[in-house]
Amino acid sequence: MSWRDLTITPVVECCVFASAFAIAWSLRGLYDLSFFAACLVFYAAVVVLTLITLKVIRSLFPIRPGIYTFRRHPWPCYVWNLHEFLCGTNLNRYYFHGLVPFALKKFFYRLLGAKMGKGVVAIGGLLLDPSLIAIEENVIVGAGSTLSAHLVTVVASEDTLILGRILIREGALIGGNVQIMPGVTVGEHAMINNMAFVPLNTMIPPYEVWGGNPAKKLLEIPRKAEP
Amino acid sequence: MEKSKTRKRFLEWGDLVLPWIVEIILLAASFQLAAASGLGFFASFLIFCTSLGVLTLVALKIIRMVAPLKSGVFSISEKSRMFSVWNLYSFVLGTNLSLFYMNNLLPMILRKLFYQLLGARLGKGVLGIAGTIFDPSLVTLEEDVFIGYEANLSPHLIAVVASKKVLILGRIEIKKGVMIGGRTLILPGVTIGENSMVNALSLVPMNTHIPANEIWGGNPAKKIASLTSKESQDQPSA
Repeated sequence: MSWRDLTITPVVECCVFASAFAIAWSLRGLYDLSFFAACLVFYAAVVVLTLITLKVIRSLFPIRPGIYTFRRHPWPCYVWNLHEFLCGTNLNRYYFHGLVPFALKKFFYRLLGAKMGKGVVAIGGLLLDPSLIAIEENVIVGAGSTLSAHLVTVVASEDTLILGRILIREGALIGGNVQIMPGVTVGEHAMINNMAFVPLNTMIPPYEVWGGNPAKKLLEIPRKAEP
Repeated sequence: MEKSKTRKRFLEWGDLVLPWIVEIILLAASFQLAAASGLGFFASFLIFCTSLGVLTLVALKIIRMVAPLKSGVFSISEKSRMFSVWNLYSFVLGTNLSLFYMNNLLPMILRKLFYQLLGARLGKGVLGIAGTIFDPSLVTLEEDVFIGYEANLSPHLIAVVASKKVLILGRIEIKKGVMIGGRTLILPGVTIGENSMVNALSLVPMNTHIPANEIWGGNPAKKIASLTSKESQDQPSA
């Protein structure tokens, strides 16, 4: 915890809540809303304002992949921390618990800055730090899987934050309860078995089946003959 | 290099549009019910949520009666009727009952009832279900079964077989007195015999048959130990 965590974060959080309260209060006065309706407005305003704040944070101080130690790079670590704090506090149920209906998940992660391909992207799992994650078309991510673009570890006896882009190429298939770490690239039409653990910076080539903990190559998928 | 313009779609148009039509009908019907009640805002909001849940359960029951899910391997890229049915079924279930189905937000005592409403065959008496059951109509649990926290029973699996994406459906049967540890994943076609146990954090691969009175665990699950059955314990050992 640095001084920033104890000053800037609470101020931002209070601003979000205060403005949401102001919106709900003024709308209640304008349209003569009932108490319950005003509560709903307040809740919706908190969600929307949090999304806007996150967008502002991301455009002012974009989160870039890299290896940061908390002692020597306090600012990038703090920005990540603030971003995560807002996601995990105000959007907790959507961000950490995935309580977004299936059909809206792609939209939700897009709002948080993930790059999504056209068409159907079926996400049954969680994306942590969506702004560092890119998913192309026709990808399926199984239920209970976690794609985490951050990792907090100890490197050379120092607390370190590792941020890395995750790229899931077109047509890849990720099973259920899979954990994918930062910097992983999953090639086109590759498949990851259920309950696999894909370690840091793994490059999974196209048309291969990987599985296990840590994930290893199991099979090769024969490519379809080009028409 | 120019990419081919006729790109193969992951879902056919029918599979994309039909779930949304059903979804809009359900939402509109429950909105009508809420509006017709003529109560205050809070009460009609509750009526909207309740009727959406009930109507979804009814719609799912109708889908199950018209086109029940059956075990088998179905191609996704080539048109397969069973995939369309499964897609529609899971979309409606995962969207309208997302909180209860995907995220398991039901109190323990109501879970048995919920899964029974979704077509699971459950034994009499108390069933401890702390995990998630996907596609409950393909799951059979007998009496005295315990399912640990966050364990997933998944009778569906999307995989690549012979370079094609396929949907695999297989009935999961769990016999009397089985215990399944936390965060275990059970894949389609698995049968677990009476009084067996599966350790926590294990992966039971497809079509595994676990005999009665054994302990299995690991990723992939393997036999770890045998349990002595109660009958043999009762007999005095010579």
